[in-house]
Amino acid sequence: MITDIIMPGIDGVATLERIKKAYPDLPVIVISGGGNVAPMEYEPGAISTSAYLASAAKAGAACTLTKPFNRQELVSAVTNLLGA
Amino acid sequence: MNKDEYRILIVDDHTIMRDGLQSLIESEPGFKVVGTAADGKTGVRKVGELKPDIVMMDLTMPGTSGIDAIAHIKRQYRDVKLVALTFHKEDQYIHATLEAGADAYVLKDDSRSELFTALRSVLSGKSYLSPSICDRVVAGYLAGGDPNAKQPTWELLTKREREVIKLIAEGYKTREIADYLSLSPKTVEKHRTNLMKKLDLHSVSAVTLYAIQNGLVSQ
Repeated sequence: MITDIIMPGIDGVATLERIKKAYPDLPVIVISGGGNVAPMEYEPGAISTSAYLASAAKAGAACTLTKPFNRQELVSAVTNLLGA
Repeated sequence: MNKDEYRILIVDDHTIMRDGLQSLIESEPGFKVVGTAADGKTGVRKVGELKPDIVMMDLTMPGTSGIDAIAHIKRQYRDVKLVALTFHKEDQYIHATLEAGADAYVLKDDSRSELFTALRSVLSGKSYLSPSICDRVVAGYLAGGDPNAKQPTWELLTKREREVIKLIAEGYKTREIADYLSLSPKTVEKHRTNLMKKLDLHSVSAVTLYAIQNGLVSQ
């Protein structure tokens, strides 16, 4: 499963916590790009993005990715988790 | 201040941010998160209980705002260092937060390394401002000497009126506001009348809109 963090309704970390209870063996990749600033102001290493992803790691994310990432980074993350 | 480990209290209404900041801070040797709180009032209480060296304070929170909490903490616990950590770049936020007694103003969009620079600066007795707002603060300082500089309407309000307008905009009724602030309902009514008169607002919906537009409450 691949999930964003900042979403309407239930956020990605709360989603992850529920998924880990129901399907503990399912690897979850969590992605974030801050979510609170305009694209032109976005700083990939921002405190908010680092905090959101640290929170996801604490909740059991198998892998976290900071936006923007390229196709190859995503494919590598998925491949590593599938053990291929 | 020179210790092997510095004690930090995190006050932020978002669970993801609190948990994430705790992990980030504890990944750095020499810092320990001794507690967290989800609103300003609980934050003030926990400062008394946990005796942190630094409080990292969000500004927009339900109930007691971070700015009011900073002022309370600064009055009661002079040695505690206060780091405001927020997304707000609006002048009135920066001004009110520094006036309340914050030692540092850091944006959540700033880089992670700036957070630790801010923490180390306040521990060594210095103030710290996010590089993103330095220009604004300098411009505001220079405009301070300009008699034509327009005073933000928000600054016409007293500290208590700011607390009341925020709670009205969050949907609290007069009695609830009175209980929350330990005031009589009559006093709350008086503050409400005064603030509406000062801001030239004529309905609760106008008060709510004003509070949102001025960043007193989240949308």
